[in-house]
Amino acid sequence: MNELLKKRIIFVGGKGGVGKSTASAALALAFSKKEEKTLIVSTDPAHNLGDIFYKKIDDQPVKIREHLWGMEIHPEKESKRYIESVKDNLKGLVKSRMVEEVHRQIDMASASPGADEAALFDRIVSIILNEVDHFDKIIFDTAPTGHTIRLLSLPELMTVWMEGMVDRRKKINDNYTQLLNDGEPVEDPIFDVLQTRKEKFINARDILLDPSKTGFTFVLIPERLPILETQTAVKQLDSYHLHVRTLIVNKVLPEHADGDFLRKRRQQEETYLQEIRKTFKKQDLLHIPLYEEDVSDMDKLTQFANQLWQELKGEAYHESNRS
Amino acid sequence: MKSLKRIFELYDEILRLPHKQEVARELRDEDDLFLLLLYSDMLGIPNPAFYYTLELYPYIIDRFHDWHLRMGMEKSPFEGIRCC
Repeated sequence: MNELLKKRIIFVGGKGGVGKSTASAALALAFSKKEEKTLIVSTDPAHNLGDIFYKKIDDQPVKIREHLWGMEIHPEKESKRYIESVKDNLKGLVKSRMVEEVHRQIDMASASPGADEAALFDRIVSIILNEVDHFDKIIFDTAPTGHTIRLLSLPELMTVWMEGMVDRRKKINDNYTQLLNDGEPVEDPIFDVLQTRKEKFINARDILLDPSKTGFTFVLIPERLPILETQTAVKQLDSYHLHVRTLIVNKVLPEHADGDFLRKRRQQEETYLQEIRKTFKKQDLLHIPLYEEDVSDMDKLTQFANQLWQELKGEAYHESNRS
Repeated sequence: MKSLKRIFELYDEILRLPHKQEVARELRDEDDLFLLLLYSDMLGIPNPAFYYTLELYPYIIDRFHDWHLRMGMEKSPFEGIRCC
């Protein structure tokens, strides 16, 4: 049995075009068919969750079918939401004649690189914290590899920075209290805000790093570049203590595919499959065949989901088991 | 006896006064450094958490105004913070 079956939160990553979204959708569908209340969240700016399920999906959970909900989150929308809350906090703190100027400046700052990403991360964290009690499984269909790694490493980077700032601020306040304020503690909203933010990061980190709750999987296809990219990704995530234990090997040529052309392709594919087995010794490999037609409707997605489920249960029979 | 105690208190006060200013200045310098670290991005030093520092903006803006006046700049030197 595969470890993903026990996780409450699953992040699905992979190179663009390998079938990440389809695999995530199939995984979610498989769980929902077993009557696990499942939420699938698409964080890829190029959303296709709605297209897969033929349903309009927005940034709040929408019911797709029995036991299955979906949502798509938009980074720009999220960063706008944050900016609005900052502007709200300004009310009453800044002299009214400055407000407009300040708003303009905040809007400019929010266009800085990293803003959308940070906003996206914030939303992911709040989804995890708020929805984890309402759903049995939450599955994140993430953006292509590089993006995801950066996103998942954010709490690690941010916590260090925030800790530094909180400590520094505390030192200043302590000195002030002792030396100038006769021991009366000083009120410092800056310290409070930093402290709250730091706690949020620590919460996020705790959840992401908890292997009993959270799992990571990458989708790849038996070709050179996806293998290399996945290898780098697994290594990088490892260095942030996020361990990928399961890989979905998608679009494997089935045995019954005939013809000279496909025979040749299969030969080459066998080399890559071997390489995958050799490279990813620590990972459980789930194989999904290449289907005759693309996964374009519910029937085909169900077929995909069934195959994935068998693989997860370790009941499937396929070529790689034979050797 | 009472007047003697009063003399000591006065003496203590006299000793502390110049230092009090010095301490205040030291702490203000620390505060300025904090400001710099927080908004280093505006000086071209990348700050990984720049986005999250926006939420401190309302509390910083007044202090920032004091800072640039103190530094002898009549107007805010940064594009990113316009307090006056």
